Amino acid sequence: MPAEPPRRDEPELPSTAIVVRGGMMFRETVEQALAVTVQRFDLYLLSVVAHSTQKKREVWERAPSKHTKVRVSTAGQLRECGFELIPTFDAPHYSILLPGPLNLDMWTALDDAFSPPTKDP
Amino acid sequence: MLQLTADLNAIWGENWLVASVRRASRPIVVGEHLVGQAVVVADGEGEFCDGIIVGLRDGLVDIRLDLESWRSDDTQVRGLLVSGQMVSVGLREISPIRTSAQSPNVPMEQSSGERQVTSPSGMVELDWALAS
Repeated sequence: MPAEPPRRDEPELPSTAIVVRGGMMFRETVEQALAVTVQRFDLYLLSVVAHSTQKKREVWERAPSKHTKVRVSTAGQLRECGFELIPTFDAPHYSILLPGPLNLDMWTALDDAFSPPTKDP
Repeated sequence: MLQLTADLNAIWGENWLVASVRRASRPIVVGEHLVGQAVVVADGEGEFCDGIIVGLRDGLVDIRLDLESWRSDDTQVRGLLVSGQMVSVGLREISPIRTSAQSPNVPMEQSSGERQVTSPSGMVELDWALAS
């Protein structure tokens, strides 16, 4: 019986909200992360940090991890690609909900929705 | 020192990472003897963080991360990874062992709830998942 990911009761992020994924976001590591959440929650979830602010720095300073390179997107860009953002675990953690296993089209959309790897914003 | 790989984005809580062994290049028995074990957690993308296994709960491996030790391009760890000592982990929980056609492992129940699976190749594969 899959567990439910702990969700926070928060309003939907505005489209302009900054979303940051730590690291280079290689397809291989994304697939590894998704495999973990499928195993536990039967959902394809990818961890990001997000906040309603439009300032990248403000979002990243709230994150516990210290990745030297990150990928940046917005809630609006992700939604346009069909990805839902769910407030999960402790703020500012969010999960990108993928509709299914990561196929090439989905990976391309996800990869394109984020900026190229950039140094800690 | 164990080297662990995990999604370092998925650190929920205050400087805590809860990880689980997914596979290892040498037999790993998950049990209380791991508590206190120093580990290096790597995310597979060149980021590293030191940690200490501080507890296990029903197979959960709790790792306290020293975020001040966060670094990239850790040549020492990379060297060890090349030497085949890497232990790959997922996040949060070690759940009951999964066997599959691709992984014809024979589970062996250890004492006090410890579990170990050894494949013909000598690889150890422990099932894993996120905990709520």
